[in-house]
Amino acid sequence: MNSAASLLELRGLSVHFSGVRALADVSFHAHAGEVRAVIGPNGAGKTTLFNAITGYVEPTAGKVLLRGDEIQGLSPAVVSRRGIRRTFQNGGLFGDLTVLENVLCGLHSRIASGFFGLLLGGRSAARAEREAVAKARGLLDLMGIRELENRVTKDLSAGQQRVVEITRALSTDAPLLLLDEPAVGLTPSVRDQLVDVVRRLAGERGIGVLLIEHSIDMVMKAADVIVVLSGGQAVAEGKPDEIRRNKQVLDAYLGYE
Amino acid sequence: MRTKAGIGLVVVALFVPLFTNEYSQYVVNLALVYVLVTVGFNIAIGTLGQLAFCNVALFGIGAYTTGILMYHFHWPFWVALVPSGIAGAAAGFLASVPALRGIRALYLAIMTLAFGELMRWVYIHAETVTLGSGGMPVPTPTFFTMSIHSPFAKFYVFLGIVVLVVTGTSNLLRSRIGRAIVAIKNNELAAASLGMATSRYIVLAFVWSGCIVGIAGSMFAILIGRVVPESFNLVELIQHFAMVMVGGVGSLAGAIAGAITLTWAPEMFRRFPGYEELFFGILLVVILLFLPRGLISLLTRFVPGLAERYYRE
Repeated sequence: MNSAASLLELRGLSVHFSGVRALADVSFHAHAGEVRAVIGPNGAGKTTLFNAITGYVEPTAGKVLLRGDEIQGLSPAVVSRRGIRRTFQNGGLFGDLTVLENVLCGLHSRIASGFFGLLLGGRSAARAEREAVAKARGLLDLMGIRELENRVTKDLSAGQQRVVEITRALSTDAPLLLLDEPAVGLTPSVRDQLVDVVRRLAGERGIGVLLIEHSIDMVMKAADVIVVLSGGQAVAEGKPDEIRRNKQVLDAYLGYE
Repeated sequence: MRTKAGIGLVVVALFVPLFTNEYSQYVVNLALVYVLVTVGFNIAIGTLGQLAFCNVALFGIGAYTTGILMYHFHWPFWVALVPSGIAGAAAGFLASVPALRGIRALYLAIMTLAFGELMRWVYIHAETVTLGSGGMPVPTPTFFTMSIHSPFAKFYVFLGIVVLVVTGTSNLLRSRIGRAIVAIKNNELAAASLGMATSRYIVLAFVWSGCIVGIAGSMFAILIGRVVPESFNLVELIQHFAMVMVGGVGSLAGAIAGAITLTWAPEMFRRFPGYEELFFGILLVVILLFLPRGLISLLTRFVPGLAERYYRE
């Protein structure tokens, strides 16, 4: 593996929860423009892996490097500002806010307006806010959901919510996107649209994507590389075809599907 | 549209004293005090969604700060107003500490409720400063050399303060700050994943809420002309809570509507002596039964353009 070109590197990442080993010595490189799926049975440590990368869980041992800089132990907000964005398994939208406002939340750390500027209605604060609104609308156009702009997100369908959440995560041009089971509750056709979105992000915009997904169908269509987790360990890594033929993987995971 | 509606409302309000007598003007002034009480309370329990029931503590601290500075130190009202807001903000900060430490929901409610009762104990027992349960007279406020004794003069002073505070609050809510506070209410983990410093915004919401309610307390002190511990009891808190609920939790315009409605309603019921509380209770039940999202939901149903949003064009 060429570590210089890697966007994200995990080195012996381990997470223990009061004696329980949730993640044990996981190492891999993720690259720009690559969709890397993380699969494995329930309890394999997939979401723990995401939580450890994004600062929600402090690793017991090991390192997380983003473009060569160690980021383990930083808070989620700081990790986000460094350039790793994620979505959540049960949906992380702000239900009381509209689609536009949710995407504006994604731009939060990019809006240069301070408390007193906003309080007093200062001109530069207002300009920063207006520019953010324009940028958010541009993103909605790009993702083809501009017509949903003023809809409150709790009223949207599951598929629409997923696309809004991904749009929001992408708003700052973060180079790395972590998607935690984005296809849960989606119909197969919506799921295929989501595959297109993910492929386009990696292909056209060069974003590195880590994808946790239970739907093997989606994983095979979307992923360039698959990492198989089992019992907190990375037991296999390879291209979708290789993984499909891997005897160990079939036994550990796919056999039970 | 909201801005125009707001300006229209203020212009209409300027002419209110043409139609009032001394007493009804006093009620209007009281409504203005409660507008700020409710706007401030709503930031904590509506926008941020935390059950912080220390609103009466914040209100009392604001009132006593003004009372003490004017009575003991002969400060003019204008100068006492600022430290009252700061004292409210400091108390709001104090209330945010348990929330930051993960004490939320009903635990936060009971803790902040205790804070309010504790403050009332302090007002009664710190006699050398507060003059105890008999209360503390507040000297007539002046604006430079002009006395603002009449309710009509107070009205314009209060209206000015309310317009400034509500405009500032609206500016904050319709910005990254307002969005961050709602985001934290809806999903704190997701808010952090977008780079929001969640603790900072929780503190900010409590402090801002406390500052507004502290200012309201200061106005209350000069409106009544006497600061008494009994003004800041649990019944008063229920009153504040009812105003937020009736107006519409989480809505700035709703807070204003709730405060005006529930200040005005008891005056109407005075015509039926002995039944005031009954009618007041029935009014609350009817509004909350038919408009669970508050009076504001009625308004936005017919004029969708008035719905509050958290950004500006």
